[in-house]
Amino acid sequence: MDKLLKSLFDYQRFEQQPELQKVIDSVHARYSMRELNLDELEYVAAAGPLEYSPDKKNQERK
Amino acid sequence: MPDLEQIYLEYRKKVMGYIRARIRSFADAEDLCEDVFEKIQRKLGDFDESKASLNTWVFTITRNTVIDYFRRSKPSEELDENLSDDSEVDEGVLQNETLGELASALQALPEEMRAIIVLRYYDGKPLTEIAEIMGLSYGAVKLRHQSALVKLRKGMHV
Repeated sequence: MDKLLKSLFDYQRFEQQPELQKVIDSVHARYSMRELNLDELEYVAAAGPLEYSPDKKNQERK
Repeated sequence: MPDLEQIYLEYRKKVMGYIRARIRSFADAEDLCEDVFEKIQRKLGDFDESKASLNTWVFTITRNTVIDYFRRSKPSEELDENLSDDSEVDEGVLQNETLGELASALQALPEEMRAIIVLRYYDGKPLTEIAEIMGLSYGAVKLRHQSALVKLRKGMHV
């Protein structure tokens, strides 16, 4: 059962079966976990890596 | 036999979605997505629909490409347990209908058990972390996890 569930949930990441996705999303909503969808991930990638560092910024000001 | 352009149009989003769920680097994900379709192009002549559906075939190529990526880039690290070869099951069960059966069986579970199964097998979290997330003791999570597996086995007739 363990192997079957691992494989099925892995396959779900490819297949995105709507009923199962609803179950997954409701659990994530209940426990405040949310995955970014593909469009959101592309937006984050386009914005580039986050390099903000408060220490660095303070040093620049000095 | 489907042609490559058809397959690309139909599966590009699924392939990229799967890869992005596993790999943070967008550039690496795009390269891998290209690799997947190059492999599909090379192997298309070997595709036999009596052995696997096109969907399962494309999924298997995508999954194996991601496994190869991790082995190449992080050979010293242990592979994500959801991706390890040991977890392979009969490809015949990898169907939309089986996912629907799983969804129904999960909906029939009490809410906490359903959450434990999703967090354990979809998110790959260990039971200790699930206990923290859910504000339960490790013992309670372990018991409910075992009980949920028994109920799912009955619910899915496996």
